[in-house]
Amino acid sequence: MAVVSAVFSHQRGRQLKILHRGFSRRRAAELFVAAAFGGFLTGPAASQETVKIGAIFPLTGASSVFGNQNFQGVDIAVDLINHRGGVNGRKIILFKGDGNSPQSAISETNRLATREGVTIFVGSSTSAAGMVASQEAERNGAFYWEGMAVANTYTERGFKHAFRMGLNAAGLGQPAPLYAAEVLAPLLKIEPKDLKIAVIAEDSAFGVDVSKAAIEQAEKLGMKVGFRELYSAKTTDLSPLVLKLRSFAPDIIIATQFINDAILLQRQMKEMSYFPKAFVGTSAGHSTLSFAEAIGKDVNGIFSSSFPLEANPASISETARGDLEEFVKRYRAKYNVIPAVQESLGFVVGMGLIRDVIGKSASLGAADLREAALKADVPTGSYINGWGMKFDEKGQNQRAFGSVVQWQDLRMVPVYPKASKLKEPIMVPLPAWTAR
Amino acid sequence: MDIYAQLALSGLFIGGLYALISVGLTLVFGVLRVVNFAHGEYLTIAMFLTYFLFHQFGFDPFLSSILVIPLMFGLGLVTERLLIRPTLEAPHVVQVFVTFALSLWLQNLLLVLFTSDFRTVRTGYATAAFQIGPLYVSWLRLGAFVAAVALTAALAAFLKYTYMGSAIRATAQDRRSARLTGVNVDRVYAVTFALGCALVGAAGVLLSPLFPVNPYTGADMILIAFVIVVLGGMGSIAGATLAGLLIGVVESYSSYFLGGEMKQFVYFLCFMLILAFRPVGFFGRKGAEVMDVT
Repeated sequence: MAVVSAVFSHQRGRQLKILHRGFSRRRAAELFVAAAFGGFLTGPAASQETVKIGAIFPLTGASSVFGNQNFQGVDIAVDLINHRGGVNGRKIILFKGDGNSPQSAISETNRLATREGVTIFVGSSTSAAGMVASQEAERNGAFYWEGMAVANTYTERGFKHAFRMGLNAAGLGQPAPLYAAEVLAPLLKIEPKDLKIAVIAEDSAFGVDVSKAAIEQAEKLGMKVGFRELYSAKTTDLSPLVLKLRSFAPDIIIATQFINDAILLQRQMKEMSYFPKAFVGTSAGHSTLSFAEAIGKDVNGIFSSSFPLEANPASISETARGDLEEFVKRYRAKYNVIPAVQESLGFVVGMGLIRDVIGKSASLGAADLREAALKADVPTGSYINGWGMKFDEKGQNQRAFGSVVQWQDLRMVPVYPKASKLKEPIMVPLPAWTAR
Repeated sequence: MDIYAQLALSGLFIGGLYALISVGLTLVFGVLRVVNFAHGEYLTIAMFLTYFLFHQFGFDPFLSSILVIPLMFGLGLVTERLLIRPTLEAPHVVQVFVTFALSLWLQNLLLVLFTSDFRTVRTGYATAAFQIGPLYVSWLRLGAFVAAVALTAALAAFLKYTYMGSAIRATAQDRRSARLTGVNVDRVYAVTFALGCALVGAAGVLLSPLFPVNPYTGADMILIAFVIVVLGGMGSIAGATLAGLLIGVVESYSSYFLGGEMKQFVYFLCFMLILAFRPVGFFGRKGAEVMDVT
């Protein structure tokens, strides 16, 4: 991180020197006035200018897996837009801020706002960081663009300049029970209201909120959740939970887990030769490549409802198809891995902010950005994951939706909803561990 | 009844590993009077080494212990020489800051080297299990438990029956008198610290086929090790072993009967109650926590 900021400050130093050498005092004064009013300029002077975006993600610490994946997705969006000439001729500079805890999210937001002059922020992977960073941004009169944090309260605080392009906890928790009722119940030949459902979740705000949304949705559909259990994601032994699940004998387990606990549960279920008829994860661990790497072919048949992985090519626009190709190519070249759910989410969130809000805004001021965001009417299917963009007054995107993937042949295959679906689900009910 | 037995078994298996993580910590404290906050990071390093050997050379984790444990011993020697020895006579807070800084530095070093992704050693036998009556027994957890107990027993025997072991115990009791009787105290410190690292290295090898590793894995596990060390009596190996097993079993029962999120609530409650009645822990000596005067 230090290296990055050193590079940035070096670049800034160089720009200043050039200003000193090449421009007359009068020209400098004109520039100063223009900068003070903050409007978009046209012509050669404007093309020299940049748009500064502060990225607040947990880049170290416990949540850094998702933090880095999200950040890198945003980073590729910035690269691509800069490669295409920037927004209105301006290049984007992305500043890193490490929001590994609420305290550091606050101090990093302040640092970028006051020292770097950042007025636009993007984040945050975790609600712990997103809730406070957006508050600091609001206090500094800056614009905050949330992509990943799901806390329902994010958009309930009356903030003028905090928007969320991604899902809230309800949006993340709902697809699993919907899928259970619409698709899994008929395949299992059980009436939805007779399904025995167990909900398990790690006990941070993320797990609690998302699992609550799943339970509410299940009950709305007339399904009863007979078992709910929370546990710490740092746990080293889930065998007591497996024993309880065995005695409850659910048809479907709906699980909100991070990575290591998701892996641990599958391994310990196998050790104790237990499995339900269907297993649906509701993010975040079940749609990571580490999950499949850790349990190998035991992953096949597991569903994961999450942010969409990829859209069915037929359901996205031609521009989005072009973006998808560029994104995958650039991500692989820069980070040497194939991007998955969290990376593509970062990219979508970056494209939405830069291309469709900053690019359409009259200025970089928070009020104009708010207006541009509220005006945005991007049809579903315009982003690589199938999303569109249309905000309600509270700043929640109404065209973001969750989707369900299934692990088939060690790959995540979108199976729900229709806009994302690529293949039919298999292995319902789940076969024995040895037959996957 | 079956449930009780299964829970006890699961608890003992994980408790054996807790104990192995903790004995190194308590040993270093007992002899050097240094609380090594970086102990967890040595666990992480050992897990990454095992992962590396598995993926680069296809070494089975149990086989790679032959390499990893001596490497961790060596790393312990280097750390002791460069960081611990120069601060041994410094005030306690300085030692705390040094090992704490080392802990954060190592976490960030690992982050730079490996990123924060989880890495897994996936062996063919990772989830192999057998059944005795109604009980499910994981081979890997059983193997890890047996190895952990064997290593702890070997450490106890080493301390009891070898010259170096006697020298370590003598130094733990009174470093000045030990020096007067001709014990090379500096060497004892170096060997003890390195032994602590080697033991946690062994724990890392045993844990790596069971749990995925990222740079924070050790930090997540170390809190429980501190609880175990204090509960067992600071500096007591038998105490740490007993406390490790006890905490494992308490965790297992509490998460079954009260729910997974109540686990820490219950074992910290036990922890406070036991300390209230026995402030020195199971086998601790009074005053063990005070730095002796040399």
